[in-house]
Amino acid sequence: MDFMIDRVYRIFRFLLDDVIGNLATLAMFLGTGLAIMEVFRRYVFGVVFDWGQDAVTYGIVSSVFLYFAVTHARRSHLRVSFAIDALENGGHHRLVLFIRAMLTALSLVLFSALAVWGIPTIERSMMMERTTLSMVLVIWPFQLALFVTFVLMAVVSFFQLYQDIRALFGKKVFDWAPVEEGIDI
Amino acid sequence: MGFIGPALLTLLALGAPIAIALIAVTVAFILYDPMLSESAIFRSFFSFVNKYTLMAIPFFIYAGFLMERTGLIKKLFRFADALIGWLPGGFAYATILAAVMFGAISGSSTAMAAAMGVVAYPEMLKRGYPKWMAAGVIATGGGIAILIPPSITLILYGVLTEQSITKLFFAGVSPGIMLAISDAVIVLTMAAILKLPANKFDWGELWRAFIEAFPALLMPVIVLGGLYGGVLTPTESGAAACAYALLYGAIALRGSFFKEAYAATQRATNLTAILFFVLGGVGIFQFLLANQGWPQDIAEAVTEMGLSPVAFLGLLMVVLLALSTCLTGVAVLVLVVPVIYPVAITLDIDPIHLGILFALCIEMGAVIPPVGLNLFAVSGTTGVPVTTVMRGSFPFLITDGCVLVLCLLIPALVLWLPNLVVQSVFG
Repeated sequence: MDFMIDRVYRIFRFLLDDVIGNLATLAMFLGTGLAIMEVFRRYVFGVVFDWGQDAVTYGIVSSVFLYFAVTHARRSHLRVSFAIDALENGGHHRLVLFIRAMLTALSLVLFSALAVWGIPTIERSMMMERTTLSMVLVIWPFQLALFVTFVLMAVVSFFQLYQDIRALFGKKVFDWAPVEEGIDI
Repeated sequence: MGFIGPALLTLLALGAPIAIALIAVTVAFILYDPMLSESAIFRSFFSFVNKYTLMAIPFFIYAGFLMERTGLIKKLFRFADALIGWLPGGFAYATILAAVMFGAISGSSTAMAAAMGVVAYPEMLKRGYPKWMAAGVIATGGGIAILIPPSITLILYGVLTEQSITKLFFAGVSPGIMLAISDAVIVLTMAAILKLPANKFDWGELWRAFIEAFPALLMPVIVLGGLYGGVLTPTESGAAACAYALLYGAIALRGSFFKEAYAATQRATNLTAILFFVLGGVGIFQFLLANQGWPQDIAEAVTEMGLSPVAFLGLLMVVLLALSTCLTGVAVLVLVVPVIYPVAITLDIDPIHLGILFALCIEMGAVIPPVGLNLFAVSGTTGVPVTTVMRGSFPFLITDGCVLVLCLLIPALVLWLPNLVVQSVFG
């Protein structure tokens, strides 16, 4: 069982880290390039694309949306960790693992719910052909990016929950998966 | 609905990611009330982060990472050292000056403290500085970036409160310089007591260091000059910073820069994702706040207590500093600003003044234990125990506190520059 799930998670992480992560990085680069081009065009030639600001904003935000799943898989979140660190340092390792599993379960439920609740919004945007501020770009592909992200985050949470539950029983799984817990901003 | 507040605090204390805690309590509230629609959650998340103004954050983060990859920090240090290293304790001033200069490019306090730890710490030890002082100067110097434009903290505050980011950037300049000067006073005192060494002034070395650091020094001039001159918006200014960093990197590193640029892009996307996920959570949480009326309740309580604006601000600063001991700067900002900002507006407190006070508290929080991120960043990069870094940063904490009190009591110290420049440039 562990072996099977490990194989599936390896494939999933490859898709997430190497495919989606790189696509998001590329989109960020292109979005920045477009923003630079727009600044140049505006101040040198005095012209801009009507859709320029929207394309920059929604393009970059969509790339960042997709990257949410990558950071979530690495457990890179802003969090308040002093209480949990104190418990860990106090030797309450199993309690910390239990809390961690509970929080992961909460994440799984929340991300699944967010994805499901996003469907009517996307459907309505498609039906009404809603656009961004410039009235040029339709908005639903960007909402779809957020929907896909929540689905990916739910899947990640499922694997993390499995990992946490196995850890509660003293078994380590997904040792190879890159983790960046604790971030500095 | 009295469970919302305790539930949020419990989730945060248990180490839940801040965004997930905010989303969870809002979801609970919406599910509890049959009049509210669940799809509002998805919409709130989506629309809160899709703002052109917010794009300044990834752009400045990206520019900072790109410039870091070009070895800029070493060049800035060399220049700062050549410029003021001849003073007693000169390299400590150089560290603070380099922090101010790099702060004008990066905007991230902890990233800067970590980067400076690698460059400045070994050099300070080589020159006979005690470990505690070297680590303390680096940890505190890094904090100045929070106030020196383009500060990520100030951009976030501007977005959360819908205030002019340009005005906030201007407002951060005076307190940032005050912090640098007060830190310099501490270094001067320490230098006298510890009889710290000084370099000999050398025009030739200064010229060579200046030429080497010139492209790096030009960046804030071009980028912030455009912003201050009223030519560029903060987001355009961020894009211009990226353009300059890409151009400079391509010239400085030639072929190898493309590999470096990819790594910098990935790091920028990663950090932006972490920040924007929290912001999405705040977008959802604001929906809850609007329905719960917490800010209005607090405003009523404050009015009934008869607190003056200064007394309210004083109390708020105490709370913020207390929170800063266990929360990171961004966490303090996103959790407190949406609740407190409407209260401050009710009390006629200037929102720009309030933003700078928040930034000052966060700056101090970065070196207050037990969380103080800069303490850990410097400890991590230098291998010095956290307690030693704390010892070194304590004297600076006192002067920083003085700057905070001055800015609290005399709003003009903060507001004179934005009022002067923004009125004259932007009408």
